[in-house]
Amino acid sequence: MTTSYYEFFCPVKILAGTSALEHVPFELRLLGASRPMLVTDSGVKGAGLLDPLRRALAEGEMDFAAAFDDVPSDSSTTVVTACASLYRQHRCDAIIAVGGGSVIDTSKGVNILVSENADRLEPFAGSGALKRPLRPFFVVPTTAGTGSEVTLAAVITEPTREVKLLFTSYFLLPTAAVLDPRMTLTLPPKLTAATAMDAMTHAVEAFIGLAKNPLSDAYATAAIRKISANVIVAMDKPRDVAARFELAQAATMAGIAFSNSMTSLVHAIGHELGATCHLHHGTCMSLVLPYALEYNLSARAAEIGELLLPLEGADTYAKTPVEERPKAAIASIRRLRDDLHARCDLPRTLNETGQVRRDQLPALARRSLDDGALSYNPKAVRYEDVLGILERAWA
Amino acid sequence: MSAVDAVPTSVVRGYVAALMAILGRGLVSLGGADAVAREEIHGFPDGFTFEMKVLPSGPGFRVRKEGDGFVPDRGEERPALSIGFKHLRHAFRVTTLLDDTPRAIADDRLVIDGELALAMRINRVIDRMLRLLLPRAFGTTATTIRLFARMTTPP
Repeated sequence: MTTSYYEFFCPVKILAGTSALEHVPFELRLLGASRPMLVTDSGVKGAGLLDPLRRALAEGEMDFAAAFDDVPSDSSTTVVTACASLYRQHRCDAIIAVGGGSVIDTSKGVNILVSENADRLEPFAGSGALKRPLRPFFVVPTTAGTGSEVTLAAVITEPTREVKLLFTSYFLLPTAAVLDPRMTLTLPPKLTAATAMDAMTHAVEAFIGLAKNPLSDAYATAAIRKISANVIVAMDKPRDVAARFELAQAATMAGIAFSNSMTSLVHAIGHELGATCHLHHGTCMSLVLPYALEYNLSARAAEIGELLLPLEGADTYAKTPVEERPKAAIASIRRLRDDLHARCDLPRTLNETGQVRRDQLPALARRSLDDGALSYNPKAVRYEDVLGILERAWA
Repeated sequence: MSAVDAVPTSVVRGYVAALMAILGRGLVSLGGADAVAREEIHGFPDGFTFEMKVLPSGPGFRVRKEGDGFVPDRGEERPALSIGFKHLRHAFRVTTLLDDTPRAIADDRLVIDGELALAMRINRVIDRMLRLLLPRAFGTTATTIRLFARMTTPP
């Protein structure tokens, strides 16, 4: 069932494929920018991922006017302020974020401060606080999962009050997302698996959620097809450029899907798991996804059944009776988790993580009910329901 | 044209204004009347301000947390949490229970500005209030059951 009304918006220019990085100087000049600031983290720097970008800029007669290369994994307003200060000090006129979710969210915060000529982020928290376009902002993802390169939100911790500030605005959408196969070739196996499951969950939740619509459905199913067909290839042959690029595109497509139709139950539980037990976000998604689908089966059987086509292909879909497709789709996701576990020990149960205690489950369930993503779940969710899902995910 | 579209603007505005007033007053009287709601209200920081209105200029209501409950608030500054209906007709659909709140959120009929955890909490408080008020006003219809079932306060 589609909604009676929907909105769909993605103005991000996608620069994707071979030599995508080499397009960056031209695109920046089109926007009147020539002094970009680099924002990244030490892991990206240490892996040598900046080399091709630096060379692409140099050959395009451009260089970074400043570089902030120490964004932590859980960024904060303090980091954003320091980064914005560097931007101003070097009179930069654009931002290039190279990294994963934390680097991209930090850069979004920096763009708010430097565009609004402000010293504090707090007044811009929430939605609707930004009223005008920000500075040119390019994102080069180095993981294939978060989809942050095409989303309008940023989450940044305010350390003194220890609260996570949420910023949402169409003006936070990057100007361009650069998908270059060179940037994800060195992603370690476990991170490849976890981020792929993150993207898979974005697409699946976008497809079954209350805000699903025909346009986000198209992106979601295409993303699922690419992930199913390529994640095991990328695990077995990490330097397979084609498979890596397919996963990068899938993550972006899933990002476009979920930023327009939102995520739901898996993310509500996964956010709490990640925050409380310090598990990687993609791992949390993988742990909860099949059980949340089982929970939603009574409300979304047809949609879950349709997932079998992108998950397993036309032959399996055609051979499976309609009434068996929903359970077959969930079984397919379970098999994928087993395959990933066999290759990199990506945990399949909360117990396997070694970071969750069973006595934590009630508190996790209680706090999950405060997560806004639950509003988009196709079925009402109560405390006992979440606890039941966590119990099934335990072992 | 749907039946809802045929309702005159003045009737829609009057109805939504009345429902907003009932919701605002209901929130104010809730803390003293119900232990479950009181426990939820305790989760809001003192001085927390909440506004619900039809954009851009109402009708709507605004309350502030004080002690065990909410009091009316006439402040002008940006509230800690606001829920705004993008159009009068969207508010009409929700307050007449033609659309439930999650459907309205999914269809982008609302703008929520503030911490999402607090928005989920206020949603539960409002549901609790409706649970107490609506059976008397409307009887227990299938629609109200659907609305009530969305959120349940954890033990």
